[in-house]
Amino acid sequence: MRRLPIYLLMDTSGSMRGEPIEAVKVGLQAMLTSLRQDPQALETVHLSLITFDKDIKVLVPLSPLELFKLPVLETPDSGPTHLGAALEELCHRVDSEVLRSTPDVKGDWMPMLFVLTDGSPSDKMAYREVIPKVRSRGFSTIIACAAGSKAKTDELQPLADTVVTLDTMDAGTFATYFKWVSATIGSGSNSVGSAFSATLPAPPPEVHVVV
Amino acid sequence: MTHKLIPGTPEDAGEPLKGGGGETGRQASEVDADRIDGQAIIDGATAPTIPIRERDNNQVGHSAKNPAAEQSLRPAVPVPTAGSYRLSLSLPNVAGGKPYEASIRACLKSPPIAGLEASRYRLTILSIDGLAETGLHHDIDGDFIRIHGTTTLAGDHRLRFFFRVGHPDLPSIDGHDDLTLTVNPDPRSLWKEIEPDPKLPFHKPHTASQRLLTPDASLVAASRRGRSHAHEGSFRDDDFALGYDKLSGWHYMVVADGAGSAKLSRRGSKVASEAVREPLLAHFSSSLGADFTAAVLRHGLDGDMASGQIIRTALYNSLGAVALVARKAVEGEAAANATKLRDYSTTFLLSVCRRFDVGWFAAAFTIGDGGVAIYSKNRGVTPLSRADSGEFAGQTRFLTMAEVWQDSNGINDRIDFTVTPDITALVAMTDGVSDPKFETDAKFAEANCWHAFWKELGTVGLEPGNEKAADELLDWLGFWSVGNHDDRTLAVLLPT
Repeated sequence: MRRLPIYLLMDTSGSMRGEPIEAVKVGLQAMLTSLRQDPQALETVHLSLITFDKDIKVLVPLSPLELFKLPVLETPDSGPTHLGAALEELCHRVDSEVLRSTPDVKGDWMPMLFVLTDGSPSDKMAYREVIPKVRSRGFSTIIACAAGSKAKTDELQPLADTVVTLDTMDAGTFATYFKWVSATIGSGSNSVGSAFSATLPAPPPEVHVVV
Repeated sequence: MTHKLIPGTPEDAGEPLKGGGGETGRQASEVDADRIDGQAIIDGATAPTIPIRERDNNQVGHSAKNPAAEQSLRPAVPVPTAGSYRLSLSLPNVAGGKPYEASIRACLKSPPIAGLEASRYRLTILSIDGLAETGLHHDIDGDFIRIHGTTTLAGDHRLRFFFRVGHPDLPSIDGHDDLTLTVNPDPRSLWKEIEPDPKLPFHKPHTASQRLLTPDASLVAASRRGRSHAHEGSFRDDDFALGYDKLSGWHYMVVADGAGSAKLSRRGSKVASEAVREPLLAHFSSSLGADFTAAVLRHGLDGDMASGQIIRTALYNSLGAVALVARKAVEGEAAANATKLRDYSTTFLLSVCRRFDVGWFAAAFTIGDGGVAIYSKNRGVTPLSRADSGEFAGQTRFLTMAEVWQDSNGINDRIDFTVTPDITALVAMTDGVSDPKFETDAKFAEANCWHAFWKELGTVGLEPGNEKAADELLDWLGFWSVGNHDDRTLAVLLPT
């Protein structure tokens, strides 16, 4: 059975503390509920949740959607946002978790990556250096969400195929954003027979696609 | 939110206050829905410090010691309230429609009183609310909980666990904590069958099947829209064609799988499948005619180099040429509709076979995934295809790709043949069948996998006498396989 690996990289730096991270939780729960209604997703989607602030935590290694439980998301009081290091760890995870086709092994569908951040990477050099590594990992699509007013979209452009912004960081907006993520995953899991065509479903009004 | 009485709340008038008096009128229905895991929130009032004197008066707890003795032993620290206890327990998600079995030991998340030994606490689960409506059952034994049963009530169910914390030095305290139990819907119940938009061009029926009887063989083929496309309301993208040339005795079978992301691939697979007949018939009597027959007879079953070379060349010039005609037909279609060739992307698996004195000759030219093979109950399997695949699932090549036609070696590598007297069947299939039934290229070449496959296919009466063979094969293609919901096409030729 072919799996669709989905990697979620979430910013848990100090600025996300409080309402924003609570809202992200609500959003992630909305995404899970939505995905669980899609039979194709329920059978093939595997999710991994990695958070980054000054530390990188693989909160949930790649697990089937059916077994996935949303863990506690904690934010430190303050501190840097090590997105570069997070992406390095992501590459390690993908290399060890995602199955590539061999005559004896049934490969996974091309994985997908969703990054959420409300600021700017503190480890800029590491970030710049890791981008080509991420882009060569075989992700069918990389979507970066720059949440809130401080997020810098032009820094995310080299990393992602699509950069979206959210005006606010409340529960409603995140729920809408993550439902769109779920629809994007859904169309990815339905794309049988050939590589993902990268035509994303239309985003909701709260989600602005940066051209 | 149901309001449930916890013994000891003020409403429960008349009973002595059990617990540490912390339940200062908090409603049982105050579920801390927004409680952040890991941080105990005591909403409203903070945990009161109950003066020891007051507790004496109320004769709280199940302590067997007399109040006077208790007073001297009791440390002068704030008494925990029920709200400061959280349970640490986690329940695996439930698969709807499947039997669930989970046994867990609950424990206190954090002993709330500094200085008191955690090991001396005893936790007893009293009851669980919210489980009955799911249809699941629970057994409790102290701090040990077993939840079991089967449910189809999908969703996130909030369960409330009522518990009691006992400690030798303190009166017991009753409390409650909430936990979410996720019940996943049974995927089988979610699949929908939706009709495609009638305004779309190139409508294709969701199913097709055909039976063809010839003097030498019976051919049966069926093609079926997969659950994935049914759920999305799109068309079957697979197609096939069967044929027989009376004059030469040659049979052919072609199966094609339109690319999922190519919006007119259903048309591509149909056009490509239908385009082979005319050129094949021409080749059957020319490049695959008398000289070819002579070469096959010389090649026999052992195969010498020279005749093998002649056969290969003839196949390159016939099957290769026919495939190119099929490609040109699709190109013509794209041009006629002023659309991109890419929109018609399709795989293409062409096979031909004929009975000779020395045995059956079978050959295939293939582009894409799926596969063609000769199966023999006695000798196993001889694959006649090598699937195009990439690093990841779904990556394959198509008839319409330019790179397939770049060089003759590439084209030659796509052709394979065999001569055998002992043949049970020639089989061609799209990946909608090979994925669930064989999984990998390696298994497609394994005799045991084919014996198992043939056994499964045994429920279909493929023999020439069965008029319902095509319908039965079509039904068979509706089999359930988790994660495998692509269109399915299977063509089988059985020598008689």
